[in-house]
Amino acid sequence: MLDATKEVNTQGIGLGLHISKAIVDSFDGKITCWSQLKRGTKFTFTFCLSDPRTVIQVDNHKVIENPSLQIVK
Amino acid sequence: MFVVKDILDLQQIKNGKFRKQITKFSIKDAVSEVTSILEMKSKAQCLTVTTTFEDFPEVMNGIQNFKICTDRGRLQQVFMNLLTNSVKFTPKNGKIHINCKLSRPRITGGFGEIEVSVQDSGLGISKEDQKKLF
Repeated sequence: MLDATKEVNTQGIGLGLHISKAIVDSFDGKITCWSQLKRGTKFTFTFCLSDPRTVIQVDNHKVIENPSLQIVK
Repeated sequence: MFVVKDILDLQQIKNGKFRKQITKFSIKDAVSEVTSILEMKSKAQCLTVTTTFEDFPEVMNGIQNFKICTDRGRLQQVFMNLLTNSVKFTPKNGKIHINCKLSRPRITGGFGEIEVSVQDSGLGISKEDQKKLF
C-alpha cells in the first residue's frame, strides 16, 4: 500500500524528483521532462517489467524464483 | 525528520540496497489509487484529471484484468511524486492528463515496459530549471 504522507512531506525540499530518478534507474527505466513556460509540463517515466512466470520477489537485484514455477529451457 | 528519512531512502535506492517487491497487479488499480488520494486537492482547484491506457490487451483484444509484473509501491511512489507536482503547479481550471502505455517484449526486449506520463497545463519550467531537475 502506498505511503501518501511520505511523498507529501517530500514536497518543497526538492528531493522528490531525485528519488524518482533513482527509483526509475534501478528498474532500468527512463524519466524525461518536456516543458514550456505558461504552456505546461509533461513528465514521462518507464519501468522495465519482470518475468511474470517465475519472479515472486527480487532481493538486492538477485532474482528469487518460485521453485514450483521453474521454466525448463 | 522526514528529510533524514528521504535521504536514507535515496541512499538505499542508489546503492541498490532496497528490497524490490515484485508482484503482479493491475496498472489501472495502481494508478487510480494514487489519483484518488489527490482527488480532493485537484477538485478544490477545479482541475480536470483524465487517464487513458494505450496498447493494453484490454483495449486491443478485450482482455479483462490484465496484470503487469513489477514493483507496485515504487511505481506508485514515482507516479505520486509527478502527479503531486502537477497538481501543485497547475492553476485553477487547469488540466492534467495521465497516459499509461504498455510496450510489448517484442518491441523493448526483456519482458516489456510500462510507460506512465503526466501532462499538465500548468506554469511550466524554464529551460534553465529543466537542467537542474533530477
